[in-house]
Amino acid sequence: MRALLGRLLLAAMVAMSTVLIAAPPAQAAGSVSWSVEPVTATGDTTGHAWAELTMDPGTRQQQYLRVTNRGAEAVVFSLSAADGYFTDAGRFTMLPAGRTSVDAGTWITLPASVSVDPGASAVVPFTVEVPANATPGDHLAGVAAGIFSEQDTVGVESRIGFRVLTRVTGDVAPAVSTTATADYHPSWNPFLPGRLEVRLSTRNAGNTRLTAQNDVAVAGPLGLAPRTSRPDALPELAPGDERQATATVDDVWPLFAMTAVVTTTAADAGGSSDGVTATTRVTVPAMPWSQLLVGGCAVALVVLALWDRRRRRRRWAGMVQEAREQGRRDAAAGVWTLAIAVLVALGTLTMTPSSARASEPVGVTVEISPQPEPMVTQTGLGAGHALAQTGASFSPLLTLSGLGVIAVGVMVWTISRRREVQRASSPRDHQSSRSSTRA
Amino acid sequence: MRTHLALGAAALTAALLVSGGSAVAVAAQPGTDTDIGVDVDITSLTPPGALTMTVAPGRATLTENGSTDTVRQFTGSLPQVTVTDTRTADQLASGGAWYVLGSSSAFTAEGGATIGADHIGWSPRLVSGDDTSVSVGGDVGTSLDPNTGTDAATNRGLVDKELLALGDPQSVPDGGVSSTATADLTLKVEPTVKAGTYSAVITLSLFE
Repeated sequence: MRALLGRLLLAAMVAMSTVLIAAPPAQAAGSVSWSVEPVTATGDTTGHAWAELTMDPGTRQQQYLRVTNRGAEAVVFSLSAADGYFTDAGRFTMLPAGRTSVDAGTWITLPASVSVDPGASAVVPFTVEVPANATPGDHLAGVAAGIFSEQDTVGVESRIGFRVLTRVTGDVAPAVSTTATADYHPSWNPFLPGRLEVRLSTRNAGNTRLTAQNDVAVAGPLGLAPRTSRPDALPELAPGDERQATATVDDVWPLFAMTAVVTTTAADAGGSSDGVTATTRVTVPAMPWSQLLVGGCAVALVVLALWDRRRRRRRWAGMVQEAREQGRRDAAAGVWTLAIAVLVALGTLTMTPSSARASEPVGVTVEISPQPEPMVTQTGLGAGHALAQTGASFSPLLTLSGLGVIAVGVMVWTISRRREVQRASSPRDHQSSRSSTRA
Repeated sequence: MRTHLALGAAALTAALLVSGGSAVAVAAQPGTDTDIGVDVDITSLTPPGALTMTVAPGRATLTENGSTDTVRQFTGSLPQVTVTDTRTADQLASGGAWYVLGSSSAFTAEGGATIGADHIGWSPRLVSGDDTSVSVGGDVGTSLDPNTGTDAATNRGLVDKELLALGDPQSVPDGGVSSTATADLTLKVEPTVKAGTYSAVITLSLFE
């Protein structure tokens, strides 16, 4: 009886003490607030935000993390270790609980959970053990302490962690490679340059973490019109990571074929090895369409102007020729006019007496009465005594002088016209001869 | 037997004392009539600062809201997350630029049906705190959202997306910075999705 009672008492006491010592699991009664950091074995801060280790294959190291509970209630934090990686934006993170680690995450051994009182901190040791067949180079992992809030449809696991970067000794060789494609975008204004867009893809081909910087230099054939551009430095790359970037080079003139040379300068993020450089080049056609169009129009204008000038000269010469012909025709016509005038004059003169004869004879009755014999008067061209006579007397002197006057007049007129025509047909000759005579 | 009994009684007493000690031990001293003035000179401590994350209690429940004939939509809200950085300049020299990333797992139902993590997106917003040195992540769409903008094609699904980030460690003012953010969650699925109770885990990670 006493033994039974004793045993019962012992059991009750053990049960109660268990309840007393172990803190209750984190109920979502209040906020949970904590922090996590790497520490030394004595619990002091290491001075670094994460753990960087250099280890030989087949060795192990002890590391420590400290979890501090800054809330008002005791909390049991779940501890995890997993493979680490960089996101596309270059942020370090580690695999979530649902994913299985395959690399350095499997090298870390640490307790599953730790209970921390409010205001207290717990230093948790963990072991990093590198397998004997581990490849040399950088291996990324992380450790974290977190809580899991009450699950309904969506559970929220919140954790704070830090990186555990292990460099396994051996042939540690940084290497980088870049591929590039480019497009030329011309400006439609022929007096403005265009721009070249270069798309870069940089890959960490070595086994170390790298920081990389790309530089782009663009030039035309024979190195004309060089331009450079320096895009932003790339975020850290883990071995095997590939990052995309775009570099825009402004003020690039289209010179039929532009060559872009991309130089990637990479440095070992762990700091121990030398840096590496990689170069790649890409050639882009860049036809200067708007410049050719403007040039072509200018040439066409010049050609048209010259052709037009020649055409006008020909036309001018033709007009001059025509004027000469016209002058000759006028001169010829003048000669004919002279001849006709002379004939007309002759005709007029010769026809006048005949016209008198041609008139009707006038019958005159004369009564003759005997008269004493008066004085004998002179008949013929007597001044004042000449009686008016019908019909004209043919006076040869008068006719000839009249004819001569007409002939002279016509001749003078014809010659003057001919001279005018000559002057019109060869004005330069006349002028040049004039000027030469003047000179 | 007697030994057992004695041992048990002693242990029980000890246990009782330990558990109840805090309540029992505070015995009220008989007070005096006169008040005793006590002067304490408290010098400000400069303890090493720390980077702390605080997660408010709460559930992230997704309820149907805003469904159309072609898309079924569920919305919810992330519990509030506060990050406080009180580290001094020399502590920050070796690290400093912290960030909180959010990543969702696939939604799985008991029968094995799954909805990929690309069907959930979020819209982070700052609830309180300084927004000059700390920035809030951009909106993340789902794979069923219309494709707009240059980043739209790649910005799909809640996988390693930023909730909160410190821009420049040198810009942290003296006394530290404390920012609280939350995010509105949106899950969009096709109307042909199999009915069931799906569950997923959103992992928020604070790293430097």
